[in-house]
Amino acid sequence: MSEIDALEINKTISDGMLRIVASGEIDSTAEKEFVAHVLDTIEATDAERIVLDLNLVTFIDSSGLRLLLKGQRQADRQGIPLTLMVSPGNPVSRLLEVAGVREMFAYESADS
Amino acid sequence: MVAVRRYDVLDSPPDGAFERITALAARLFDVPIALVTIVDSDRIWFKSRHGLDVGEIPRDPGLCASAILQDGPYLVNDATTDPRTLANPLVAGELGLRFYAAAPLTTHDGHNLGTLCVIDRQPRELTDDEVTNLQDLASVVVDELELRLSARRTVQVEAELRHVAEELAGTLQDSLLPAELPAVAGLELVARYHVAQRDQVGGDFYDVFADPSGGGFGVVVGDVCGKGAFAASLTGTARWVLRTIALGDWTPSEALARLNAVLLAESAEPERYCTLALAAVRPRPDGGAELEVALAGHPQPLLVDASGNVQRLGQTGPICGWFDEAEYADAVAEIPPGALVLLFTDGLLEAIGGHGCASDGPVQDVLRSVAGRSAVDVADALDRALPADDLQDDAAFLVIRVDEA
Repeated sequence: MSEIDALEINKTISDGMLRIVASGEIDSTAEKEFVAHVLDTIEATDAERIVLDLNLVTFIDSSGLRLLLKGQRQADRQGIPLTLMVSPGNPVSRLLEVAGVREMFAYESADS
Repeated sequence: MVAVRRYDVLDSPPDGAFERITALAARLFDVPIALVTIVDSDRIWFKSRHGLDVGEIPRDPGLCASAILQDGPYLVNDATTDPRTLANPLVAGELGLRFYAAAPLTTHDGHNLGTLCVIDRQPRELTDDEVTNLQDLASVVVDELELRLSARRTVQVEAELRHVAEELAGTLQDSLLPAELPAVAGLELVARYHVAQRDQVGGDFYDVFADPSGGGFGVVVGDVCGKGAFAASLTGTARWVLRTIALGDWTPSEALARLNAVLLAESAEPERYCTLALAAVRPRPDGGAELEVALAGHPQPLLVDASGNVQRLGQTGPICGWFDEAEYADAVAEIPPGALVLLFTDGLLEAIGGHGCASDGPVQDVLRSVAGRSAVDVADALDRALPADDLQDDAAFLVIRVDEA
C-alpha cells in the first residue's frame, strides 16, 4: 500500500509530562530505534506521567505491538502512568483491537 | 594449472578493470598491443587485450608460456635477433612481433598464472623504471584476480550456509506442522503455509487434532510474535498443550486460558506472545457442522456460504502468553452444507491486501469469487492472489469445507 518509512521518535518534557511522539513504521526493523528512544527513555525518566503519541504511526505489526506492551510494562514497573494517544482508524488502533489488548492501555484524548 | 583453475578466470567475460589496465599499459609504454594473458595447459587465453583481435593462441608459439617459467620480467628487445624468439611464428609471421616485455602474474602463494605483457612491431628497450612499472601493473592485475576470488568464495560460503540453514529450518518447520490433515467424513480440509524467509522457521503455525469428547476435531491457526528458534519452541509448546487439553473435556476459550497460563509460567523469555484462532468442529450426522471458536488476539475467521455471503466468526480476546488476567469467549456458528470456514494469519491479509493491510476485505473478495467451490479450489484461488515475489510476512491458512448435502 505504501512505501516503508522508518520509525522516527521525538521526545519533549514539560511540567513533569514526558511526551513521546512516534511516526513511521513500528515493526521488527524498528526495534533498536524504539528500544533506544522509547524504552530506555521511559526507564531513565523522572517524569510524573508519560504520553505516547502514536497518531503518526503508519504501520505496526506484532513485533511493534510487543514493543508497545514492553513500554507499558516498563512504565508500570516504575509506577509512572502511561497513556496512549491514538485516533480511531489508525493502524495502531486497529491492531490493538484485533489483538484484544485495547482495554489493557489507558488513553489520552487528542486535545490534552 | 591448479592455480589457474582455482581462480576460475579462464573464459570469463570481459571485465572493465582488466580492460583499463591493458589500455593504461599501452599508453604508458606507447605500444600498440597490451595483454593480460592466462596460460592454460594447451593455450594462452587473453583475459584482456588491447590492440589485438585474437582471443587466445596455442601455447606452443606463445612467448607468455616461456615468460611464466621465470620469476622476474621477461624482455625481448628485438625478437628478430633474439635467439629465444628468432624462429617464433609470431615474429616471422603476420603479427610481426619485434618487442615483447612481460611481467608474470604471480599470486600471493607464488604461482605464475600468466602475464601482463606489452608488444610492439618495432624493436624497443625498457628502462629499469619502466620494467618496475610493468611489474607494478602486473601486481594490480593479481590484486584484481584475488579480489574476485575472495568475493566468489564469500558468495559460495554464504550460499552453502544459507542452504544448510534452509534445510534445518525446513526440517524443523515440517516437525511443527501436521504431516497430513486427518480425513474427516463429510468435510474437506486444506491447509497452506507460505514462509517469507526460507532460512528461518516461520512464526505461523496450524494444527488439526482429534477431539474425542466432542466427537469432531480441533483446529488451530496461530502466529508467534517473532521467528527462528524462539518461535519454534513456542509453536511446539502451543500445539502440544492444545492437543493434550483436547483429550479431555474442553471448550476453545478454556483451552486458550490454560495455554495462556502455561506460556506465562513456562516461557524462558516471558516477553513474547502468540495469537491464535482455536476452534472445535463437530460434523452433524445429518449434514453440516457446528463450529465453536475462541480468539486470542487473532483476526476473525471467515464463514462463506455457497452463495458467497461472508460472515466473521468469534469474539476477540487478548493475545496469549502476556497477560495474567486474559479471558476468552466462545462463539458458536453453524456451517451449512456447501459452506466453508477460512482460518488464517494476518500475513494473509497483508500478502493479498498489500503492505500494512489489516482489513480482510481483499480476502473476502477472493472468497466470494470462488463461493461454492471445493476447498482445494478456494485454497488455490488464495494462493494465486498472493504476490509472486517474496512475502513480507509468513502467511498460513486453513480451509474447512462442509460437503454438499
